[in-house]
Amino acid sequence: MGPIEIAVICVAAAIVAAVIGVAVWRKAKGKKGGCGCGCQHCSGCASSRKRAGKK
Amino acid sequence: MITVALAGNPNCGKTTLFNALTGATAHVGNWPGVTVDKREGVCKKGDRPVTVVDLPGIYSLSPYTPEEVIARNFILDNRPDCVIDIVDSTNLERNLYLTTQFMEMDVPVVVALNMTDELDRRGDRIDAKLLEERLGLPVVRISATTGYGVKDLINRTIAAAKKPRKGISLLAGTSVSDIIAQVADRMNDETASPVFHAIKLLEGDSVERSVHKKSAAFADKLTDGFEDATFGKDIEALVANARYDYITKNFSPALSKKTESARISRSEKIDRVLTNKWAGIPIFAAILFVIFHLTFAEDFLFLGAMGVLGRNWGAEWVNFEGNEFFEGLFGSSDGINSPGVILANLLNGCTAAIQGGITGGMEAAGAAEWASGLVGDGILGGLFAVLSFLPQILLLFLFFSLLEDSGYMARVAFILDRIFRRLGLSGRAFMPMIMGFGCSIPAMVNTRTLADERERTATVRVIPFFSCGAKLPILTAMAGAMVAYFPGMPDAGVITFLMYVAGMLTAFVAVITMRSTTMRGELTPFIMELPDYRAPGFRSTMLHLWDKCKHFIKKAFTIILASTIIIWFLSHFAWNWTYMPDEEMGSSILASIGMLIQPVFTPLGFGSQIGAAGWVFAVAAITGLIAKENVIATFGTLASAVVSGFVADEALEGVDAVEALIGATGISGSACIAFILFNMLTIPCFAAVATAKAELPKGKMKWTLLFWIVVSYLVAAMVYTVGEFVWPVAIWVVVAAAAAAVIIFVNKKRGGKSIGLKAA
Repeated sequence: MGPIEIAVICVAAAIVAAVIGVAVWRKAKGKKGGCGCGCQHCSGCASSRKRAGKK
Repeated sequence: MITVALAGNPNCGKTTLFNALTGATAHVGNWPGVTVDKREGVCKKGDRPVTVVDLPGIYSLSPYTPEEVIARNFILDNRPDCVIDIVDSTNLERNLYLTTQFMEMDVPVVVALNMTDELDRRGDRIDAKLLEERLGLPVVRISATTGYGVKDLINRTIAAAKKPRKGISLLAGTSVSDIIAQVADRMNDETASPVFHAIKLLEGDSVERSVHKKSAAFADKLTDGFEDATFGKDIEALVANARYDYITKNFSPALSKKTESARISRSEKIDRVLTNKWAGIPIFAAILFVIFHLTFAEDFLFLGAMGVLGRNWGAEWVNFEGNEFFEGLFGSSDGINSPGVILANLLNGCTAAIQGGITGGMEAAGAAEWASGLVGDGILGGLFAVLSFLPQILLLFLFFSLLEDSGYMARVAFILDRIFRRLGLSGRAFMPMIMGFGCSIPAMVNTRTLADERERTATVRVIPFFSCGAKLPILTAMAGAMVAYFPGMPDAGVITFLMYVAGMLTAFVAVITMRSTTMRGELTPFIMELPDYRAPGFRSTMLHLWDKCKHFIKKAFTIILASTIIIWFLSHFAWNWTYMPDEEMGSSILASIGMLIQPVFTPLGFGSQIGAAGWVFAVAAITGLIAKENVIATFGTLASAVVSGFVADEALEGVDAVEALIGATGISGSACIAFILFNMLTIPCFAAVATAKAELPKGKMKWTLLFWIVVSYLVAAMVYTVGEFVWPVAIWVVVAAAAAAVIIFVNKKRGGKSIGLKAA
């Protein structure tokens, strides 16, 4: 197995681990994710203190 | 930090002001009821930072629906330092009704006269100084859309928040003024805003009565035997009338209107046509058809079908034969592409070049076949198959956004109310449903505007039937592939439009059935204020599109990307963890799982009866439960491995992948339609399921999941069997008629006021 193959496997594993990890972490924290669709129910989209603070 | 609440009537521009104050991009729309929950932001435009809370619109502080309760509870329980009462200047008197209730509360209030630019255009004037004197509250002229007066508003709000204010009653001189004073005196030590609470108790507000039981009993004693000369014992009506009288007498002089004769507004003129009793619905259907045609059609204006584009005329300049970049971009001899397809072709040209470049580079660098297969066919194939539909999704939502912002969608709710009432829903349910075309999640949340719990449950359940943006790639790819593979199929735009209509029809039938059986209940009257037609703002339209685009890309590069990697691994490894090359994929983990569940889909046409690689359809239907885009991502990832000779290097990658799979499996046209419908109607994505669970009453979720599975399975089976064999039409008709007869019979026996199916 050459360096390209190792890199491909590492990147693929990292992507899957990151996506699953973030989902599990969010679930554990009980934080609703911002779906970005402009809805009002989640804390992520619409407004946030952080965004306004940048201004 | 000072906390300021934004309150006002629905559609008076609260969220637009919130965005202007905080720099947020919260969703705004030209119809009442867009905001159904409170949201916070920080405004730094004034002399000091202020926490701003945007609240759902309310007509009064006596709540009926869940989102009205949110607004009232925040003002009463959280006690903001100041309330900005946003008043629609073009509708002054009605908006001031809520102001009169704020005046009764012990909270500083600043009145923001919004939409003053629109008022000026109409030629009307409001004397803000006079109004300020009469109200005894600061009044600021603003335009939230243009930002006019916003800085002044926030500075005056900060100043007002520093001075405590005592509530006053505007009902002095009425027959209940003494009673109000006595009840307020009694409540003085019990609660803040005693005047407000006293009036609410006399109005018979159920929330107030349950919280202040002793004071309610005291008020009952005082009102025992009370009878007004005009209103009798109806104190609520008396109070409402007294408030309007007060507004007319004291505040209306501040408004000077242009003569009434010149006032048949542009909106009214347009409404004479668009909301016409007979023409309204056909016009709406025609508008939808045009939108779908502009987005998906490969035979624009049906020029090809009508023979305008002959081989000897038109075909060569449309097709750009021989030109590597332009060939097929604008169309072919069969027809000109719609703008949506042209944009999709352009994007696909780019993604195909990227895919080819990366795969070629890896091969040149001597990467193993499996590594370039994973990156090229697996990851990029799946990802680009989904991304290829982004231009069409954005174009479709551009049109929907324009309709929503113009105020037309509110009219559609109004014209559909007549039909909806027959189904057992009010026209109000239309807005969440139409939001479902974008995303089921905000649509389900928006059902909070429905007062009746059963109506709300029924609406939440059918919202996923209104095909969301995530399902669009399934529809477009399947429709495009069917047109390309099966001769005699109509245009892809027509198929997509018909699938949307099929989803809506299923929703309507499901609602009738639910409201006639498990979800019986009373229908609340539908009263909706029709907003004026407005030219959609460029910024808000672009923000809608940007939100959609961001959401889609984020999902593509997270969930979809991870899913394609997992699918590729599962499809290229056997249970003993040995690598399976493409030609041996039938022995992979994914294939064995797919083959195991494949028989379940046999009655739907994409089960055991289709060719060796038929398990791909079963697997795609299951991966779609995570995110609907996964269906096409699965096809994109597996097509090159399953179908020998498939190279997705041409335009419309997702379409090509499906077309190749149709050819390899021999799936029939009716099974393809059944596949689309099953995925459209079955359990939505994880996020939508979680939202439904949060919005539905306790214990209803498991039945809702079962409902989605049963409906999608039945509809897909019906479409497949009828399309394939014709004779089952008789069976389905008999079953449907028998079910309807049983429901009508049971409802007749029950009697009462049940809605939905009943004997004439």
